[in-house]
Amino acid sequence: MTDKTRIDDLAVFGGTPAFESPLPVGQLYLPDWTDFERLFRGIFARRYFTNHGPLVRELDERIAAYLGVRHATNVTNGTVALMIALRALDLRGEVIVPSFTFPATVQAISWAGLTPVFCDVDPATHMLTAENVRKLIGPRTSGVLGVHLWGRACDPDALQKLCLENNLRLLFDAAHAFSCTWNGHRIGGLGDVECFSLHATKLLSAMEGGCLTTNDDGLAARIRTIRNFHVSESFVQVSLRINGKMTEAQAGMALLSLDMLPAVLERNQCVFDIYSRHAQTWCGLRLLEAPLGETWNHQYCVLEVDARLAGLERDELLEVLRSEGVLARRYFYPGLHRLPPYFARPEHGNVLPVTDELCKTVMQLPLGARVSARDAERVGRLLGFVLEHGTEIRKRLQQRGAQS
Amino acid sequence: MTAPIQAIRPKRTIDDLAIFGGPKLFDRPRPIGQLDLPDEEKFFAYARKIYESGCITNNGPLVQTLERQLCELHQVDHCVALANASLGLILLMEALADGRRGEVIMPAFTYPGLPHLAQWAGQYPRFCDVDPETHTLAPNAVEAAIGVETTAILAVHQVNSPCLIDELQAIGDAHGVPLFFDSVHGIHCTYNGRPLGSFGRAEIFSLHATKLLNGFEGGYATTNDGALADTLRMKRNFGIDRSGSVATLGLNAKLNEAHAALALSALDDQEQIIRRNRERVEAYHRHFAQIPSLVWIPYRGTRMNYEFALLCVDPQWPLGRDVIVSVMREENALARPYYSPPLHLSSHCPPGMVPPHLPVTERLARGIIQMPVGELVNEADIMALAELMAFLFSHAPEVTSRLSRQ
Repeated sequence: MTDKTRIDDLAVFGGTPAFESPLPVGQLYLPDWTDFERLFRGIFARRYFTNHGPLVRELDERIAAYLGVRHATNVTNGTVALMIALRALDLRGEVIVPSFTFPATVQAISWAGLTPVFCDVDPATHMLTAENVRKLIGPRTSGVLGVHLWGRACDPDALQKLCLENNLRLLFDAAHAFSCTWNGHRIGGLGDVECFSLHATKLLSAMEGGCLTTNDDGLAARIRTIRNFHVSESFVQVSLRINGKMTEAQAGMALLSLDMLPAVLERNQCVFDIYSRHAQTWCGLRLLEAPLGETWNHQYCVLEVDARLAGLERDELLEVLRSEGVLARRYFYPGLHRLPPYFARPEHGNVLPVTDELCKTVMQLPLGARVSARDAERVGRLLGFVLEHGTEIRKRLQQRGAQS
Repeated sequence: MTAPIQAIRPKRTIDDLAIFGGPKLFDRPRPIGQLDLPDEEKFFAYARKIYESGCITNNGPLVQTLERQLCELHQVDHCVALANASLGLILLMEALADGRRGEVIMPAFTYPGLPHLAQWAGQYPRFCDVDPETHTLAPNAVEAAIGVETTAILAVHQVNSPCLIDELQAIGDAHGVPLFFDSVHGIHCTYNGRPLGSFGRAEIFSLHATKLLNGFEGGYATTNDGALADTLRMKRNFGIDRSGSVATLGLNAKLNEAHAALALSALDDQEQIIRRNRERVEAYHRHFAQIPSLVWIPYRGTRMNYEFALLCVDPQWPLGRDVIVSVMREENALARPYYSPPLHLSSHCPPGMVPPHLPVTERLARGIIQMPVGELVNEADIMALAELMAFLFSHAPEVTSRLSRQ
């Protein structure tokens, strides 16, 4: 591809798309085919397909060791992990949660028979703060579900203190935070329990998968019992259980993914650093940098769009990028408090001005297995070109809209 | 029956029984699940497509191919693949209740997960008795249990018989209550000549490795109701609709591409599996024929999958059912009391529920053994089990007295 030199070169106005095969958001790493084949030949030789098999047990142990927690329990997927965690904590009534998160965070609360109460987030970190949560604690509150958004820890010290003072349980959605640190320790042992996602788009991939981590032996026994219906895997009496078992295929893929981790982390950082360097020239975009003093997984490249400076709105920018094959995405839109089954139901809380604003301005750039350093350089220059001509592009988009 | 022949050690005295310290009859466990190993090369050919498409999950091409093939298998309009059958049952119960909290009528002589899954869906289980012949929900019991709080009837096809579908459908229609099926044990079976899969509002099947169609873990819903299929497709993917917005309460029940690849490669083997299952059941009948007071639960239906061998132990038998099972399990024959205890009398009954009296269920739950079956059990194993049972029959008083001393 040659770089765009005129506005007419943009694919949205009829030019040739910059990328022949589109660049997706998401990690999407696969192991080498030879490793894949060896893994599945082994599973078939053992004829052990699922039900607490040797690979799942090995994955439990390796994740626990990697994160430095006493217990890791792998399950079907990250949503099931959250559902199990909420039941294992034996919560009642209301759970305080951000609306600025992936739908599963909130939906898990509903499936666990609890009422989500939405809390607004900090405009700089995009996450819950103890001060915001404190205002929402009421007589029916039994827990707080924080989200380590974009791999940054969600105010853990202040939230833990607040929860202890108010006799609340604290859990974290750590879907974004595998291999990220807080105060130099890997996230995994914060609050009562943390829930990771091992989805294909995440750093650690089991294709689909989830993992609960905790340092609480009693809680771990409840988690392991809730995740299945088997007599042999019943460790304590619990009232509600589910099939949340991870298979040997999933666990084997995650073990290979763990082996690939150092290389993947290095590659993520390389692409992120290219974006970060270009971002210094982008007018009207703020890139969320790595948290200072912590190890980060560079899993996501998150941008806030300031339309006044950029010259065009976030959604207009996305339209331009997507037509070029850069499948940048808004995260999250709209907030969960504006969607069924929560919208217009006052018990969930619905005045969230910071969340509403972030839902209009935040986007993610592609970063993962399908984005090379060269791709990232080209995306960086493309974005630079678009922002240089932001106002004019916007005018053209609006004219085109008026004509059609 | 291709399982490798392994050492089988006959019993001469009761000291030879593993429960009394003797060597185990089987050196490796003989399980009760199908555990079919599909053609590995077929699996790798499908798995190659994951590497070609780069699609690992999220309604990928292999999942869509599997769904089309399952529509044909079940002669039904829509199939929605799922991460497992349990999540499918939760989503279906929640969808059918349509925001109401109520009761789902279900049997207690069945899979222990069902009362749990109803509660995840915001519903309460209402246990009903079963028919003594089919072991499926008794229509008169359902009729008596139906009320304003009923949000659905969850009928479970048993391995030995499909449900009394016409009678249950008539009751559901008369009361305006949706009827759906747990069809995990009904794959390849027919009702009035039609494959299970298109009855009631929807049916839920399993792709668990212990079932006929092995996808590691997995499940799927079948239905002729296009709107319900669309709802389930949204609900398995966080309630996200075609426009990309969340339109309803959902969760993650997506089947990944590797699981779909295994299920696809297993599809061609199904007729052979059914044939082998039938041969195993017939071998059990043949080799156990000389042992008194034992009856096999008959398969009722023109086309069945012969997944289980269910041995009914007469109360006259000199050893109790649970003693026989304990002895077998020590020998590495992983037999189980079949659906026992029944759910309403087990730890799976919701706390605080006053258990109803379900006489047929309670009688059935006392007497049946689920014998080792599946691809890891061959005819020599079945002969060895017959010899073991004959030995137990003739040495029952000694076994009883030794057990009472232990």
